[in-house]
Amino acid sequence: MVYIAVCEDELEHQEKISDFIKKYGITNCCDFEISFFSTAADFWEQYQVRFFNIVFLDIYLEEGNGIEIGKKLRNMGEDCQMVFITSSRDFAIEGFELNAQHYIIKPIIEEKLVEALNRCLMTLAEDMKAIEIPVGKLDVAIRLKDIIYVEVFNKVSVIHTTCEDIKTYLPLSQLETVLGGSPFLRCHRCSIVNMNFVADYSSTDFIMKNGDRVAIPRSNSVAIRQQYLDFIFTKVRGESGAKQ
Amino acid sequence: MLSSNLNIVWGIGLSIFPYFILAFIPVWNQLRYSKKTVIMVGTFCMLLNIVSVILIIEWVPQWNSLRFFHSVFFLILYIGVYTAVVRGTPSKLLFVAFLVKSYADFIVSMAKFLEVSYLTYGLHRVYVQTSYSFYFNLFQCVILIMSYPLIWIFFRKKIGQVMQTHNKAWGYLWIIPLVYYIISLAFGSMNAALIAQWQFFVFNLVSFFGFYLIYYVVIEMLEQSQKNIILAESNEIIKQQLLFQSEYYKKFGECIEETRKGEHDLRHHLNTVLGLIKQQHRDKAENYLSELLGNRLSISDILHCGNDAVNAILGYYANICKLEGIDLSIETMVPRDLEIDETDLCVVFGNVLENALEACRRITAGNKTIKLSSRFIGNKLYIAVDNCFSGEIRLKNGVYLSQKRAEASGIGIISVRAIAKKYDGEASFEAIDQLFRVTVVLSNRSQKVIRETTMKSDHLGINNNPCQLEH
Repeated sequence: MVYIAVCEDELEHQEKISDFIKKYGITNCCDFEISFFSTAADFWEQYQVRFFNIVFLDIYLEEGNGIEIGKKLRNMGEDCQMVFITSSRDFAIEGFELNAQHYIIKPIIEEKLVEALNRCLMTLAEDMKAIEIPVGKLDVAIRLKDIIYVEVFNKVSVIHTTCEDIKTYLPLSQLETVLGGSPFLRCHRCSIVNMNFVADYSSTDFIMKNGDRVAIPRSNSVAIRQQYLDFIFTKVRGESGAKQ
Repeated sequence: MLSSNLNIVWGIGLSIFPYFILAFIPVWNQLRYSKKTVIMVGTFCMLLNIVSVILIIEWVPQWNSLRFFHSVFFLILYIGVYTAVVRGTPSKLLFVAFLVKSYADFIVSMAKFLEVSYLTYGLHRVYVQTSYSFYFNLFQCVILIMSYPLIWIFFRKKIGQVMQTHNKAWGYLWIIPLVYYIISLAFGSMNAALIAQWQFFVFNLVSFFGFYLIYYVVIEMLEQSQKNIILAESNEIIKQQLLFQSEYYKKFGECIEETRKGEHDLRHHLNTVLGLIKQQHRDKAENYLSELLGNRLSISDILHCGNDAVNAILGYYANICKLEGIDLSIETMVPRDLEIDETDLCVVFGNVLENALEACRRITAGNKTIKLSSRFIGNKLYIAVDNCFSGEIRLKNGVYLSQKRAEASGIGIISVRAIAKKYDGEASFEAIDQLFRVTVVLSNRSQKVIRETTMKSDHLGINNNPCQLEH
C-alpha cells in the first residue's frame, strides 16, 4: 500500500488528480490510499510521522503555502517523495532544492502525473531494497539506504547503519557482491562506504555524514577519488544509473 | 686502484645516469610511451655509450682526437631519443636537453680541474692524459653530491612549472644553453696544463653560476608573463561580470515594473474579459487571456539558483542561447552564501558557458544543446557542463587549444583549472563522440560552518533525484 497525500484547495483539481491516480493504480496494479487536504492546517492536523509515501503539494493554497509545508517536512527529517503542482514556475528553485520528484505546471495533464508517479514509485522501490545478512543464527534484513559504511575487525564485518551497528561473520568480499556496486564503493581492503553518506573527502579519508572517518589507502587514493567523483557527477548530471 | 674497464663503466655511468634522470624530471608526465619503455630505451642508450667508449679505448689508444666526434654523436643521439619519447614543443625539449648538457659539462670540467690539480700539487705526480681515471670519477662524485640536490630542486620546482607556459620566447630560449655548450666545447679540447690553472677554475665556476642566474631570471619572467595573461583575462571577465550584473538588475527592475503595471492593469483587463464574455465572444476572451499570460515576465526567467552572482551570469547566457536557438537547460543548485569568492565563481561559470556557447556556434548542422547542472554536496560545489560540438577539438600536450588563437591553449580552461586548484578541487575536460564534458569541483573554504548546515540539508535530501522543470 502506498499512502498519498494531496494538498490542493480547488475541488476541480482534486477530482482530476484523484481520477488520474486511481486510473494509474488500476493499470499498474498499485494499491493507493489518497487523502485530500485543502489547507496547510488541515494537513498538519492529520499528519503522522513517516506515514505518507508521496505528497502532492499545490503552492498557492487558500491558507498556507505548499513550499512551506515541504520545507517543514524536510526539516523534520521526512524523506517522502514530493511533487509540486502549481500554476507558475516561480518556485521551481525552491522545489528543486527540496528534492522534489516533479514540478507540474497547471493545467494538469495525465501524462505529467503518470511521469511523476513513475518517478516516485521507482525511488520508493529503490528505497525498499534490502539485503539479508546472517547475524548469529538469524537472518537480519537491512535496507540498503540505511547502510552508512561497513568495516572489518578481526574477521567480523561491522555494518554501520543509520540506527545501529550490526556485526556479521560474512566476509567483506561476499558483502561487496551482495551490496552490488554503486552507490557502494570498496575503498579499502577492509571497508565499503555508501557514497550517498559521504559528507566530505580528503586525500586520506572519507568523512561520513555521521562524522566517522573511513581511510582511503594511499596507494589507491587517486582511483578511489575518481570513482567517487564519477558517482557524484552522474548524480549532478541527473543521469540514470546514480542510484540513491 | 680499480681496473681500468671498471673505472670507465663507473665514470660513464656517472656522466650519463644522473643527467638522464634530470632531463626527465620536468617532462615525466608527458611521456609518449610507457615509463617502462622509456627506462628501457634509456638503459639501452647508456649501455651503447659505455660499450662504444670501451671499444674505442681498446682499439684506438690515442682516442682523444675522436673524443669530440664521439661526444657530439652521442649528444645528437640522446636529443633525438629525448624528443622522440617525450611529447612537447621541440624548442622546449631542446632547452631542457642543453640545460642538462651544460650542467654535465660543468661537472666534467670541474672534476678534470680537481683531478689535474690534485695529481700535480697533491701527489706531485706528472699528469698523464687519461680517460675516466679513478680520481676523476671520485671528484665527479663529490661535485655531483654537492650540487645535485640544488639542481634537482631547480628542475623540479622551476623548470617543471615553466614548461607548462606558452610564450614566443620559447622559440629561441634554447640558444642560451647552446652558447654555454659551445664555450665548454672549446675548453674541452684544451690540454691539461691549461686546465690546471686557477683562472680556468674561476671562469668555469663564474660562468656556470652566471648562466644559471640567467635561466632563473628568464624563467621568473616567463612565469610572470603567464600570470599577466591570466590576470588580463580575469580582468576581462570581471568587466563582463559587471555587464551581466547590470543587465540582471535591469531585468529585475523590469520584472518589478511589470508586476506593478500588472496590478494597475488588472482592472482594465478584467473589464475587457467581462465585456467579451457578455458579448458571447468566447474565442476572443480566450485569446485575450492567453496573450495576457504569455506576456508576463516571470521571475523564474531570471532566477536559476539561490546565488545572485551566478544568476546574473546564467541569465545572460540563457538570453543569448534563446536568441541563437541553442537549447540550454539549467539545473543548478548554488547556495546563496558561499565562502567561494563570487568573482571566482563567476569566472568558472562564465568560462565554461562561454566555451560551450562558442562550441555550439560552430555547429552548422544538428542539435545545439548545452546542459549545465550543479549541486552542492557535502561542502563541495560540483559543476557539470555538457555541450555538443562539431569538428575536431585541438589538443596539444594534453591541453585543449583555443579555437580563437592558434597554438595557444584555451585561457578559459587555464583559469578554470587555476581556480579549481585554489579551492582545493579539480577540473577536468573531456571530449567523447561530439560531446564535450566539463566537470569542476570546488571546496567551500571555511569548512566548519558550512559542514554543519549542509549535513542537515543533506540528511534531508536523501532522495536526490533532481526535479525536472517543464519548459
